[in-house]
Amino acid sequence: VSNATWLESHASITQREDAAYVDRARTQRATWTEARIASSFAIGWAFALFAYACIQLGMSAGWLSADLASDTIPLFFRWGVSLTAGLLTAAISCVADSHRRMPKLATWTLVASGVATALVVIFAP
Amino acid sequence: MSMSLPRVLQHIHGHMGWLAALALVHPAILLRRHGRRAMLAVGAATFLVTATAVLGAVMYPHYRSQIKPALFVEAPSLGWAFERKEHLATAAVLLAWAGLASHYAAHARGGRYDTRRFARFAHGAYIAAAVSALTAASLGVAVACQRSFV
Repeated sequence: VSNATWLESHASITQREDAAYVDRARTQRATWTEARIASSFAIGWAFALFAYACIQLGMSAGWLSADLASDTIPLFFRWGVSLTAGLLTAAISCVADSHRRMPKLATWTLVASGVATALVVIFAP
Repeated sequence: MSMSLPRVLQHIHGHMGWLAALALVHPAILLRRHGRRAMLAVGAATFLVTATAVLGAVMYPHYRSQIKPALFVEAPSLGWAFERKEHLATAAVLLAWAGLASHYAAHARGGRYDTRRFARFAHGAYIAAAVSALTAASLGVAVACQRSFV
């Protein structure tokens, strides 16, 4: 086999491998996008509850004042902050390439949220 | 007999609250088999509990001005019970949405996820949401028996 023939065949193999890699990447992106977005929202909503409970615990302990404006209702203040924090968490989770760890992350976030909410209901209503 | 708007909203909120609490029990039972897909039941329960919470938020300024001061004077323990009810209702809504998202993730196309873990997550979230909603509904009835809108 001459050098010219060897180089030509080697180049065509490389091109085929590149094309296959691009196809595989496109397919993977198309198939796991919706699961990735949904799992990010699962973490986001669980984190929103965690943020809500932490704000309430902080307010009860006197570490945090919700009287930011004269017409601020503390309940709405807590909702607003926790939903903002939850949506931000969902966005960061979706952008971050940690989707393989998301089921564990979501479970631990839910456990932390449950404990914090129980503390609020029992000790800091 | 004419009824004020807050009183009408209170009645609707109370009935919807119990319906939502019972609706959340449905996915908590259905999803015990982790392979089960129940998007309609899960979505309907989540929608109902969210609509109830929105109605509660609409009524909240009326409650704060008309009921809360008198309730804390008459029966402080029930006043604190209502504060607990607010937290439990918020937890029910957020847990229901977390459960809905994870149930969808468990059944979305693509095999790169640990779908069993997401299914377990959804089941746990709906059990917690149902318990929170049932407790909140019971506390709401106790407060309404003591004092309600005129």
